[in-house]
Amino acid sequence: MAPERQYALLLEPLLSQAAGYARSILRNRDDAADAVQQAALRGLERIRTFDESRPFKGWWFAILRHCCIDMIRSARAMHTEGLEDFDAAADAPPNFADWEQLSTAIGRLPEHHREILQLRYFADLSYRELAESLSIPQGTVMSRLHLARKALQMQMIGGET
Amino acid sequence: MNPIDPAELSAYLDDELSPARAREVEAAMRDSPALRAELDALLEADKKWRAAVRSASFRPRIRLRNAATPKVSPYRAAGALALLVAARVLPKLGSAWDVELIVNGITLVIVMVWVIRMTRGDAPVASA
Repeated sequence: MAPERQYALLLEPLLSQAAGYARSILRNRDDAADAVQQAALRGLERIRTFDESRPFKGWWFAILRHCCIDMIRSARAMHTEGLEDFDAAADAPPNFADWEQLSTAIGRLPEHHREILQLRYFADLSYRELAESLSIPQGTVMSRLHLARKALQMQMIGGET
Repeated sequence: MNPIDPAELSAYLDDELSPARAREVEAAMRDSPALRAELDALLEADKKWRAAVRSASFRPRIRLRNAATPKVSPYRAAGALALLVAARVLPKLGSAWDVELIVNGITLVIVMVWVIRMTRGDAPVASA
């Protein structure tokens, strides 16, 4: 089977999670769909260099993460309304009742905690996939994820009091 | 048994420990109510967060250009076919009626390819 065809088959079951993950970062459904579309094409361009011994999901979500980061940078450069919404959301009180509030609370954490929590919860990556996506060892994934969870728990306690 | 690293509680929760180490964590929790309480707090938060993220997902419509099977453009194929037919048939024609018949045939082929292209789309991976 051609790598491009195989790529399409591997990508198909990831799309809903990918959209949720991108939405958690970009906070806008249309922007999330655009980011997934961009990542799908960017991955297609690189599929022939993909090492099949590595987890595809972790590899592809790293591409999607970079697409989301690029979109945020572009939005900041253009000072769009979407970015204003993104910044304003950071002031909302967290009660974790829905994804936006959870995403807001995660957004308040340091970048390395934010990244790993978004990939774990919104993209449902395994530790091996997280290691691949973030280019860190699996042992680091375990400790970083635990610390990130504790930090988020602290926010939850703070939000409920 | 090696002491339990707090981070291993997260790994236990995520089912990422080896079976042997998971059994050791379970044994340690039986002996330590504090460790058990910490895992319970992690479990409760994890359950809440997982429930919250479900509403973020949706099915995006994605298209892969030049993907899957490389295709020849239908317009180019129709054009090539029309040229081929014209090159072979036109020199043999004797009347204007024959020319009109051939032109109509070529037009029909082009329209059919266009309709097929419109109904098939560009190799969608998934749709909303």
